[in-house]
Amino acid sequence: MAERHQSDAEIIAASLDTPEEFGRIFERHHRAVFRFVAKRRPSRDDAADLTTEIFLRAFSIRRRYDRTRPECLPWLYGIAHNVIGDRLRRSKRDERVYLTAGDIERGRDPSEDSDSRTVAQQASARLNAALAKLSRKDRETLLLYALEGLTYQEISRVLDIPVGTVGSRISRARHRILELIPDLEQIVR
Amino acid sequence: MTDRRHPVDEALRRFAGNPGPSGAERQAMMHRLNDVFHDAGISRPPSKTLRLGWAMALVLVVTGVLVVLQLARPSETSATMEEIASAAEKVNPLDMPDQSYLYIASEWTALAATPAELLEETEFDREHLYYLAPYDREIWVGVDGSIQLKTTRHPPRFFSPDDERVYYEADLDEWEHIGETITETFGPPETVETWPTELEALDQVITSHIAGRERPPDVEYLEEALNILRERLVEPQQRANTLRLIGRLEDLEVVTSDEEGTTFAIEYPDQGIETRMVVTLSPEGYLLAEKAISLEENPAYGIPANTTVSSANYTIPRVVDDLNTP
Repeated sequence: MAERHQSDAEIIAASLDTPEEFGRIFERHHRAVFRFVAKRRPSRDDAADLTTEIFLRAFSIRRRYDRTRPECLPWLYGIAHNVIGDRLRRSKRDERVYLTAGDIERGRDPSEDSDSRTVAQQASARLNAALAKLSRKDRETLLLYALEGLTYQEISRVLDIPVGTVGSRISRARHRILELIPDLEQIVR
Repeated sequence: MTDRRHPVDEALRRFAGNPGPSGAERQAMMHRLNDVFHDAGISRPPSKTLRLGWAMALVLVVTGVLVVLQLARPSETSATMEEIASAAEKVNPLDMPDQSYLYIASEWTALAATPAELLEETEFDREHLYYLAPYDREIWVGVDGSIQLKTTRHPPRFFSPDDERVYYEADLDEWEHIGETITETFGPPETVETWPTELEALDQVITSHIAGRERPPDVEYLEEALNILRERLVEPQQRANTLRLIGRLEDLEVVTSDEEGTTFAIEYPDQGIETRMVVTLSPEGYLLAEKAISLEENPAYGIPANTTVSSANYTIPRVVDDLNTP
């Protein structure tokens, strides 16, 4: 008989008595959290360090997890949002976004370059530049929706804003990016 | 509202993919985390009962029978708490038929901190804007654990006119829905947190929960015990034993006691700031009020000395027939 799938909420509840159980939350979600962090930080070392810090913070406050929510990824994104914000304030760095499609390609042999890869690099660079021109609020909301795949309701909980504000921020962010990259539709076609 | 095929979203997905962690990165993260999970599993201190046992044995050896007699005489706090616990035991359990709700109304004030980054275009040179956020709350808890929560937020109280100006210039009142009443509903939880009723078993669970926390053990113990009493249906015996355990806390002192209720207090350093936690119980052991007072100035937060930084006043829980009845 197939083993019943345990929800994140059930695993977190079990980890209150058996802390090692929380390792299963890490196994399930560390890739998504790592990618979330990597988009917002300049180096991979930093991303691994921050991802660990996010899971440590989640572990320390797991008693407060709302167990009516079976899936905990939006909760982890909310913690990640705060941890990254804390780190930014501490480091006093200018906030930027670090979409690494270009970085992935940079590690390759230049002789392997193809037209499609060049197009991808250029598109990535232009998207980076456009995203950097958005306000942090609008950018974060759009990335949570388009890249992390959260629903409006989940984003509302992660960022602690009304659902209507989620919609207006996404709409404003898309509109601004289309202004900055007028030929975007041709690029994705 | 949920059009995920918008060209901007497509472009982001296609050209902004980030790689996941490598195997080595994953292992390094897991190694650090496993150490913490493992330590949390084995570092729980011996139960309070065990610690008390050792302490009593030591006292007996050193000072003999005289001290035994002294120990047999309860402190003022534990004697007062025993009186309340005895009264709590005699209260009839609340009868909750199907389709009924436990109802509690409360008035709260919380210390709120808004990060400077949310004050985007407003001039502000600290990392956070601190203020006191008052709100009223009503809670209906169903027999199955489902919850209806009704919250009304009131205008904040500020520590300086400048803080107030910044708050309104950044439109935080709109963001925080000041003046609005918001009703939320939550379905029954998948797992319900339960507490033992028997005195020593309850003590062990509370003690295990507070392992590794930052504040002094008596403060964390009191906080955890109050969690059992806050906005929940608590059987009389469990309420009574929770109060008896609170009465064992050495640093807790009785402030006032009359027919309206009894107030206790405990002082402790909270992040280096001397703080006083004050708790009021009804004569039957219901939690009526709690507050934390910052006794010293907190320059980092801009909070003057003797400021009540959080408070809550509760009505005594009662059973109602529907979600509209306060």
